[in-house]
Amino acid sequence: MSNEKNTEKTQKHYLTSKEIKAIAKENSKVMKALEKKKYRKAVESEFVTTMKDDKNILEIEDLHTYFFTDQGVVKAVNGVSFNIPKNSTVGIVGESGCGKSVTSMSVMRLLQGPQGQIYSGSIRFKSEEFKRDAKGNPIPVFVKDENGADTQVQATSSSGAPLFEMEEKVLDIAEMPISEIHRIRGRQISMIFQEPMTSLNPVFTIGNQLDEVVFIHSPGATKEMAKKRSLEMLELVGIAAPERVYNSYPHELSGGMRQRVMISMALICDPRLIIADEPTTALDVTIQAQILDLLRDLKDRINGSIMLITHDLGIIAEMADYVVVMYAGRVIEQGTVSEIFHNPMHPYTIGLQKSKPTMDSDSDTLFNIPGNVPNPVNMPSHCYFKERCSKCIGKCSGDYPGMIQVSPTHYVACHLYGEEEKNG
Amino acid sequence: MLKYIAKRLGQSILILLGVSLIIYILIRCMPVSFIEDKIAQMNQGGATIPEETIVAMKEMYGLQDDSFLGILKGYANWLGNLCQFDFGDSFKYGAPVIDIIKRDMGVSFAVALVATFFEFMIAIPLGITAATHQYSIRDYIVTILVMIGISLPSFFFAQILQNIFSLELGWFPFQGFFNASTDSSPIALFFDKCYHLVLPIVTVTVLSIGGRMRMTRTNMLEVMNSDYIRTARAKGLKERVVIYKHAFRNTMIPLVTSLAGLLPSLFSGAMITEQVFNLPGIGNTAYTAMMAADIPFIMGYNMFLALLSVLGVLLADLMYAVVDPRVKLQ
Repeated sequence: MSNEKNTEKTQKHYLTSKEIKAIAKENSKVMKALEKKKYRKAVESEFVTTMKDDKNILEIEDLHTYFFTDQGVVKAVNGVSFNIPKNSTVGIVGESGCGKSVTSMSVMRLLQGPQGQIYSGSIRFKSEEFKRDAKGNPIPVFVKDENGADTQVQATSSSGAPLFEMEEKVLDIAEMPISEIHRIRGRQISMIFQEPMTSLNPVFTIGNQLDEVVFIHSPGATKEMAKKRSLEMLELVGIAAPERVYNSYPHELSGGMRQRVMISMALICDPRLIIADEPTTALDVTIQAQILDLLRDLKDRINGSIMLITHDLGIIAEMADYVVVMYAGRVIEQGTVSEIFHNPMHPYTIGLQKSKPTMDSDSDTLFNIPGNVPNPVNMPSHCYFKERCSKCIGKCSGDYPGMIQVSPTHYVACHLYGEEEKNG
Repeated sequence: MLKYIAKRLGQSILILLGVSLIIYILIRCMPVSFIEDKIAQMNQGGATIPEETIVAMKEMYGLQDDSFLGILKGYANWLGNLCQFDFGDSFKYGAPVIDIIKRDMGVSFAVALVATFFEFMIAIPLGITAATHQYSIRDYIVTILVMIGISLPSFFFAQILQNIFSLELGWFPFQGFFNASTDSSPIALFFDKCYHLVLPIVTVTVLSIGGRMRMTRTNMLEVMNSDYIRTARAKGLKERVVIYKHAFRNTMIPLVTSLAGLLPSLFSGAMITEQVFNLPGIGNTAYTAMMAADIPFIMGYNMFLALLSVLGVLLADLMYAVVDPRVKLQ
């Protein structure tokens, strides 16, 4: 890695042409290898694994996602590990540029290549796959007659989609070649994006874009079936005139309506995991509350999990079961929502809590954490928060602190708590 | 919609009037005169033309008065004839302008139509692959080849083709439209003509691919980076569907603008290419007429192109409404 070189010249404002060439050479070598891996043909056994804990739906372990830029390697996600248990909402908080969105993009494998690459780590996902016969076709489930024998009629789900036999498999998304990723994307993990205004294709009708998802993911779906399902979903997300919206183009809808459409698109295949990447940032507050209520209702209804990315602590407090706090590409603290809110341990989390406006404070000014996130190209080897931290101790100049367990669910990466852990 | 078209057509008439006035004044100000050339030719023959004959000739052609008012009078005269659908007779060819345009347009149109077809069929897929494989070896090769195509002057490239495929290899005829000996069946004559048009079509195609390919590539790159493409991928669509359905429909929107220029270019003829290959196309005819200061023909030809341009712009605007649902015409 060219990183050693970069750390030496930390305070330089420009790179010499020699250094730029060296970086470019190194980058293209690594990028080429990673791209090759991404487009390789792989047998399934290469990316089928097992879960560490069977209660989880997603386990991210030591994920490194890098961007190979002309200035050097940006380690946007630098060793992130956390789990998403079944039927729970995990909130990911942190300031802009801390790697929240890149983590979610890594899970969806939507990183802009060839610059953005998952460098190492694993993302294990418990996937529900179609059972396939020898020819590779999904095996349909047939309606049983009184004697228990199969009839020739294929069973359908409550929404009218034809049913197939399913099996559970654990897939390592980080190891999957990109040609296999459509098994997961959209059907099992779906994503709600931050910008509803630009996230829908302007030249197709809403109906067309919704039906498309049904067509890809349920084999044998007919046009009527897809339309029925789409209208059902539009109604589910609280759109009053689904038939009208179905035939509209995105530019004919308001921002809140478009986000509802995005949500219905994400939910149309009953995904096991919904990644909501700041789903309410672009919306006004009244719509925000409605959208969040909607997400919570839907989560229970389809029995899925939500990975909620936001920098709004209020949303986290309201929605999440577990919270992961990220800073500069690393997880610095994680725990249940009450542990994070009532007993924040990392100075950064404490600072975040303090900088939240409250109704009962008399102060005119809002607390802010001084300083900025360090330059992502030249990360120091000590704790990334050291320069901004008010509780620095001598040990902070040493190595990056490891994760310390303070309760069965609460972890923190800070030197302040290292000794306690050893004693306790 | 119909109201919109009618309104636009009404505006077009005003535009065409302005265009015709400007062109007429410019032609009359050209430093060549049909009469003086003719007299110079006669003088070379040894005869001396009396002054009153010259004046009479100028009067006959309507060129006696070169003052500004005289030019305007000439324009009014031309316009008056036009109102009776009379474009006048060509000085040079001695036949009605319309007839000559009709006679020569066929060859040019055939060349342009086939070349445009190939241009689109080659340039758009190239642009898409270059964009979807940005910064790859494929992208660089396509871009470099296309740059060469843009940079080559048509007379130079045409002559290289003539040299290689006609003189060296002898695969195709050097120039001309048909062999004089081929006066047999119409089918044989047709194939002979097609055979003669291969090299001109190749020339026009190769030179025009570049612009179209670069345009496709730029648009495609822009579209591929947009949020809705990310959404399409997140839905679980195969990359092929993402590119050819979601991205391409959006890339087409700016491509439609180029329709405005396409319509006149189909009929205008490739002036220099036709010259090099000595084809009896309208570009060649217009070039000769221009050199001879053939005012009625140049006026007729340019007005024909102006009309096509105006219609092309209208067509492009109408097509916008077809490919982009956000555009409403009123």
